[in-house]
Amino acid sequence: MGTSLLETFLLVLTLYSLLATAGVSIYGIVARPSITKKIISLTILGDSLNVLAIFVGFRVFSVPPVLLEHDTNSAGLIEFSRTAVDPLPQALVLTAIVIGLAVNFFLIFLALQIYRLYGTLDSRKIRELRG
Amino acid sequence: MHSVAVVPAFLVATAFALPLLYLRVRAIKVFHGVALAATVVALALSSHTYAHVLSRGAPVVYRMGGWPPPLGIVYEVDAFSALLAAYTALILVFVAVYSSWYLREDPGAPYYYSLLLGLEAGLIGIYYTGDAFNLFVMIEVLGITCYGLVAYYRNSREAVEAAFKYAFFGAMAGLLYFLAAVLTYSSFGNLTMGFVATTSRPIFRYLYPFTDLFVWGNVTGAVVLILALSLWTFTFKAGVFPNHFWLPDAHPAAPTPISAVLSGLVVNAGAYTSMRFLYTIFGVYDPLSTFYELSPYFKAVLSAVGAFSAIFASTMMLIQKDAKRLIAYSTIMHLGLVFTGFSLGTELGIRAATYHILAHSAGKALLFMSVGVAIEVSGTRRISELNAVGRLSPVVGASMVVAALSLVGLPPLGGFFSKFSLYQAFIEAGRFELVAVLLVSSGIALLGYLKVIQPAVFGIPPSGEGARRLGEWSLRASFLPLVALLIALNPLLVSWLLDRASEAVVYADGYISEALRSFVEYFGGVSAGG
Repeated sequence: MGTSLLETFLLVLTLYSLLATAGVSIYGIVARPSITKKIISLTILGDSLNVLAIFVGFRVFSVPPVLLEHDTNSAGLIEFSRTAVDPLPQALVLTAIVIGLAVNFFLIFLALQIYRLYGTLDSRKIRELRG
Repeated sequence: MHSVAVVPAFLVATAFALPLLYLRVRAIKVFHGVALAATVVALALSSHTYAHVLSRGAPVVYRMGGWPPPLGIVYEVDAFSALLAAYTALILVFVAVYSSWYLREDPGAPYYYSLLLGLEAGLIGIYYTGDAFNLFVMIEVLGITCYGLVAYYRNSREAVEAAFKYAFFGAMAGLLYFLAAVLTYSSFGNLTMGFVATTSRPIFRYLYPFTDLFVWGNVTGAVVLILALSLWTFTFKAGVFPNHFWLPDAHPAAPTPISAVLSGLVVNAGAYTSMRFLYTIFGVYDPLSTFYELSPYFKAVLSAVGAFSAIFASTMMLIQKDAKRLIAYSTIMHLGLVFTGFSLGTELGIRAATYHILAHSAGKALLFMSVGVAIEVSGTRRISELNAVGRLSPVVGASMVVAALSLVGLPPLGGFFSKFSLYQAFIEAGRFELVAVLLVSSGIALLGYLKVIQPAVFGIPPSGEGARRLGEWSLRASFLPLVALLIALNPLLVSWLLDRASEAVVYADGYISEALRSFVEYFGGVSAGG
C-alpha cells in the first residue's frame, strides 16, 4: 500500500503550508502593534502547531486506531499497527487545546483590562502612556 | 505509601477548594491559616519523598494509574529534583507566613492563595515529572498561576501591562515547548524522559535490546531543533538573556510575596529543566551519548548567554530608581551565573550551579520580602523615598543586610560558598574569563544593593500607621528562619546533599535503569500473573 505521487505532493504541501502559517503568525506577533491582532496571531500559531502535531501521527490510507476484536492474532495486530493512525499526538493536541483555551481567555481578559485602563489597544501608545 | 504522587494532587485539590470555602467562610484569617497549613503539609510530604529517595539511593518511579513508563505518565524523582522540590516547599512556607502580614484583610486573599498553591503544585510537578509532555502541562500550570498573580492588582496600569507581556510571551514559549515535545515524540517514539535518555545512549540498547524498538534512525538534527526550542522556553522561564525582557516588568508589578516567589523559586524551574534536558535526557555532556558531539556548541552558547546576562543585569541594577526593579535585575544576574555553572559540563559545575540555586533562592526571597516591608511602610517603590525600617525594626534591617550580603557573596553566608564553588568550577574547567565575569558582576551588584540598603536601613525612620505593623510576629516568623537558612547553607551541612544531587544529574544511569526497571517489572508481573 504505497503512496502515489499526488498523495506525497499533498502531504508535503500540507507540511509547508503549516510551516508558512506558523511563520506568518510569528510575523503578526512581532510586527503588529494592535494587541487584538497579536492575540489572533498567537491563536493561529497555536492552531498551526496543533495541526502539525496531528500531521506527525497521520498516515495515508489509515484506519481509526480502534481494535474491534479483542484477540491476540499476531498477523492481525501487525496489519492493524501498519494501518492505524497514531492516536497519541491527538491526545497531546487535545490537552494543548484545552490549555490554549484557558490561556487565551486570560489574555483576552487582560486585553480588556488594558483597554479599560489605558483607553487603547495599540502597544506603541501603551508604552508611551506607561512612561 | 507513595508521597511522590500526593504532593501536586494535594496542592491542586486545596487550591480549588479555597474559592469554594470562600462561599461559606468570609473571615480572611481562616484563609491565611488554611494556606499556611497546606504549605506545611506540602513541605512534610516533599521532605518525606526526599528522605525516601536519599535512603533508597536511586530514583523513585511512580506510575500514574499503574501504566508502565513508555505507555503511561510517570513521576521519576531523583536526588536532584527531590532536593529542589523540598527546598521550594520550605521557602513557600515562609512566603505564606509573610503573605498573611502583607495581605491582612484583603478580600482577594482566597483567590491569591488558590493561585499560590497552584503555583507550588506546578513547580513541584515540574521537578517530579518523568514525562516530557507532562512537563508541558506543568509548565502551563506554573505559567498561568504566575500570570494571574502578576495581574493580582488588576486595576493597576503597570501590573496589567506587565502581566500581559508575561502571559503573551509565556504562551508563545509554551507553544514552542509543545512543538519540542511533539518533535521528541516523532523522533524517539515516546515521551518518557527515562526512555528518551535510554535511546540517546547506544550502550543501553545493547544491554536492553527491546529499547531498539524506539530508535528511528539518525535524529541528531531533530535533537538540535528540540533542544533549541525547549531551551528558548526554559531561558524564558529562567529570565536569562535574551529572554529576560519580561522579568523586570513582571516581578516588581506583582504583590511583594509573589515577587519573592517569582524571583526566588519560579526561575529555578527554568534552570532545572535545562539541566534535565541537557544532561539526563539527551546527554549532550555525556560521553556515552550519541549527541556528545553537540557539547562544544552548547557549552559556548550557554556560557556566553549566562555571562552576558550576569554583566548586563548587574550594570542595569545601577541605573534603577525602583527598588523592586533593581532586585529583579539581580535575579537575571544570578540565573546567568547558574547557567554559566552548568554550561561547563563538569560535575563540579553542576554542583556549584545547584548550590547557587539554593543560596540565591533563600537570599532573594528574603531580600524581596524585607525590602517589601520598607516599600509597604514608605508607600513608594522609589529608592530615594524609602524609609529606614531598619531603625525601628532590627529584625527587618538585619534580614535585609544579611540577604544582600549573601547575594553579594560574603562569608559565612550561603552566597559566599556557592560563589566560591562556582569559582572553583571555572578554574577547574580553565575558564578564566568566567572567573572575571563572576567577580566583576558581583562587584557591580554590591553597589546596586548598597543603593537600596542605605536608605532602607540607615535613612529617615518612618512614622505613623505603617511603623506600628513592623512589630508583628509574622514578620519575625518569616524572616528569622530564612536568615538561619542562609547561615545553614554551609558546605559542612549541605555538601553531602549537593554531591548526591550533582551525581544524579551527571550520571544518568540510575535515572535510566529505574525507568527501565519499572517497565520490565510491569510486563514481568503481567506475564507471570497471566
